[in-house]
Amino acid sequence: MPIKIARVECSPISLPEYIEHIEATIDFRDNESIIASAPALQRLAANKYFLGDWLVDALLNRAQEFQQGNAYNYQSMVIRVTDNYLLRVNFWVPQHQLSKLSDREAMAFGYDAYHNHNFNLLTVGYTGSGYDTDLYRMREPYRPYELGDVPALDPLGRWHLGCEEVMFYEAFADVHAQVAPPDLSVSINLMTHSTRNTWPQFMFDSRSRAISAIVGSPLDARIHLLTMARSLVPERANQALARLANSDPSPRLQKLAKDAIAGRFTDWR
Amino acid sequence: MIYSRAVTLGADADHKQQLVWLAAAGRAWLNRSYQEALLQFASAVEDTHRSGTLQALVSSEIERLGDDISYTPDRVVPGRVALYEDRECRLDLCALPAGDAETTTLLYSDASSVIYVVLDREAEILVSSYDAPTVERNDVFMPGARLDQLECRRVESFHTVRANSERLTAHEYRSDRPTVLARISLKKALPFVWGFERATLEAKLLYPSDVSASRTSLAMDFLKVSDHPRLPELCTNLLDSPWHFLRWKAIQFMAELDTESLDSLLARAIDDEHLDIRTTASRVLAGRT
Repeated sequence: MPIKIARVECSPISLPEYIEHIEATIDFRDNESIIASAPALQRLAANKYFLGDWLVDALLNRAQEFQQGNAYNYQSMVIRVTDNYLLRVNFWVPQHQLSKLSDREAMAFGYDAYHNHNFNLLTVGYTGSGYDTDLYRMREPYRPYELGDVPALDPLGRWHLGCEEVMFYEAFADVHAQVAPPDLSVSINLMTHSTRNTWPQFMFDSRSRAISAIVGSPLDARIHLLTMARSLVPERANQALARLANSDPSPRLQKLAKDAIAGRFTDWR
Repeated sequence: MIYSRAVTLGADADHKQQLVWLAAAGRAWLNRSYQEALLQFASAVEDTHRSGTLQALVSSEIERLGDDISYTPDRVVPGRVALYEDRECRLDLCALPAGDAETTTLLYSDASSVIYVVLDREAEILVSSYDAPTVERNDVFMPGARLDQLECRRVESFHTVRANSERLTAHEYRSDRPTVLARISLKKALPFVWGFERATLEAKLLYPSDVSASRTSLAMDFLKVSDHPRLPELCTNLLDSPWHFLRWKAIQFMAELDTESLDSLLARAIDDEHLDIRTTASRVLAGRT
């Protein structure tokens, strides 16, 4: 279930102190351990200067490399990546500042874009009034859903992430869509990584709640490569796909390989 | 998160060298529209074809997948395999799905100079080329400016399509079957991508081609709303930004923060190389006198 932790009075800590703390104390495979680190995230959020300092330093001293390799859209800036976790900040722009000419920006900010995550996410409100989020719980998150499937979702209502409040979104099961805040707001996200057997991340149609897109997991790169290879080295690619379909340890990869052989693998959209 | 690597897939030395040559020849042709550069590129494509380099590279990657179940090809994203990258250009394999591309409401302009090489003997690939003849500057938006369709033609296997970003152009590719193209693109991009309404071919919107410019803009907004004491430091630096919208935002913020006199900011703005900034500065100055 998603969890919300109220704001508490706390003393601020620096970014290096926060990083040192979580790397020394969190077992990133354990949800309870991640949730137990919420007070440290609140203390980081109580530090009202660290993010501005980090941004100014990055933009003044390393402008050419600023966020190079960050594959997220411009809403997200990555602070740190390790083998165990990713620390990033998300910016939430109010609706009236978005372009009226296309839905590109609204999509980039994830507004009205229902999705789950294939990673655990602990987040804290940093500045601004914060976003609302419409939450649902997937009854059966660990099933091989396909595009067009309508998984059973139980509504949990509209929640709010205010300043220095923490929320935990559980991987796969929690589904939500953000609502644009009235003013520019920023949240800090601590995210775990997907693993080999990770199910993909799904996007849901905002009206029907049918699965409208499959974001995939890093391991899907194996199938993407082989699918493209079929145009260049068809025999080898098909043999490799057949091997994956028959003997890959991940049932999901087996299925994707079968889909690719049948021409049904449609990458992530 | 470091994003630079020369040859990205495992390969023997000859194939690596062939890739470097193909990329270099493509880069040279994109930078210099001389017949000699074209001939060299055509020769590099022919050699790449004859040597089976792309097939060998992909095969070695497939072999690696078979040997190691935990191996995740880290230069593969949906629809693209990164083959080579240096400071100026990159060489990728790109998927082209079957069917019509005309499923989106907007048609986007080319962000950078690029060459596509058709690799498939069987696929029938059509390219539609467009040009916006009335647009003089990529960074001065002209709402309603129209794209003209220049041609729609079939591209034969191992033939190339070259989009040059000196003009505002757009290209769309369609194939009768899923296939793969080789793409060589210069990293130097035009400042903005324009979106044209597909039905009317009229310019509707633009956005920065470099996402870091949008991130910088968001960072400025954040520093402002959080009253961060180092905002003036960043704004002063951004007065020299290559992005006109960041320069203008820096001027506006500095005026609001009163960190530099409005007269001196306007004096700077009136000499800006971007028309919109010069025009706005002139208007403000006229209103003050």
